[in-house]
Amino acid sequence: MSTPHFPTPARLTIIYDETCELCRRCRHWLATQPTHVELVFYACGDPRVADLYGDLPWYRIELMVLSDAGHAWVGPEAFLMCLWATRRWRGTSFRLTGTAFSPMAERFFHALSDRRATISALLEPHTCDGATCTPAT
Amino acid sequence: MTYLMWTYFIYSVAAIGMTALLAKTLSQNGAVFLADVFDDNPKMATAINQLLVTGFFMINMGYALLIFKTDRAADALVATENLVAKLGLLLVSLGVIHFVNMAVFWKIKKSGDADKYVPAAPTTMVPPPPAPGTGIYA
Repeated sequence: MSTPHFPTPARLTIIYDETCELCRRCRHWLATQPTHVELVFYACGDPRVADLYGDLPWYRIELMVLSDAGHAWVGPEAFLMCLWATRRWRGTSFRLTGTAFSPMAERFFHALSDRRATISALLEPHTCDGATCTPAT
Repeated sequence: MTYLMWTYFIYSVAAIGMTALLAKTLSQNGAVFLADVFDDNPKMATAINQLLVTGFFMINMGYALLIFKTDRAADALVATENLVAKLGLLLVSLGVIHFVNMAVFWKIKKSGDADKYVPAAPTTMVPPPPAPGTGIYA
C-alpha cells in the first residue's frame, strides 16, 4: 500500500458482499459513522452494479470502493478508503499506510476478507435497519 | 561593573539575540509548512504563523527571565562558568521548545494532508457507479 497524493473524491460508492454477515455488520457500522464524504452502499447482488462490474475478477471476492469518476479501490485499499471516509478513523487510515504498519494492515485486511465466511458463521444473523441491528427471526 | 553585572549584561544580550534568531528561523520555515496546508487561505497561514511565533517568543523570553538570577562571582573564571552554564541551560530549553514547535507544524501539515489526499492510490479504473439510492439491496 502506498500513500500517494491523489485528489479526494466527494462521494464514495461501496460495493460489499451482502451474503456475508460480517460484511453486512461492517456496512451497518460504516453507515452509522459520522463521515467526511457521502457514502453510497450497493450489495453485490444488486443488478445495477452486477451488470456493470460482474465480470471483474475480484467482484464478490474483494470489497470495492468507487469514486464518481470511476476510480476503484479493491481489497486492502478499499478498507483504507472506508476508514478514510470516517471522521473518527481518517488519521488511522494514513497511519496504516506508513512503513511500520502497512504490511501488517495489508495482511490483516486480506485475512479478514478471505476468512469472512468463517467469521460470519460464528456470528448470529442480524437484520439492520437505520441505526439499530436486531437478531433475524 | 562587577563580574555579576557583566554576567547579567552578556546573558541578557545573548538570551534576547538567540530567542529572536530562533523565532525568525521558526517563522520563515514554518511559513512554508503553513502555506502548503492553507494554500487556499494565505491570510490564515500568516495569522497562525504569527501566533505560533509570538507564543514561542513569550515562552522563551519568560523562561530566560526566570533563570536570570545567578550566584555572585569572585573572579572572572567563576563568572564565565556561571554565564556558560546559564547559556547552556537556556539553549537546551530553547531547543526543546523549538522541537515542540516543529511537532506542532508537522501535526498541522499532517492534518491538512488528511483532508487533501487519500491514503491509497486507486487500484484501477472502472465505469462510473450508478446514481445513489436506487439499488434494491442498498
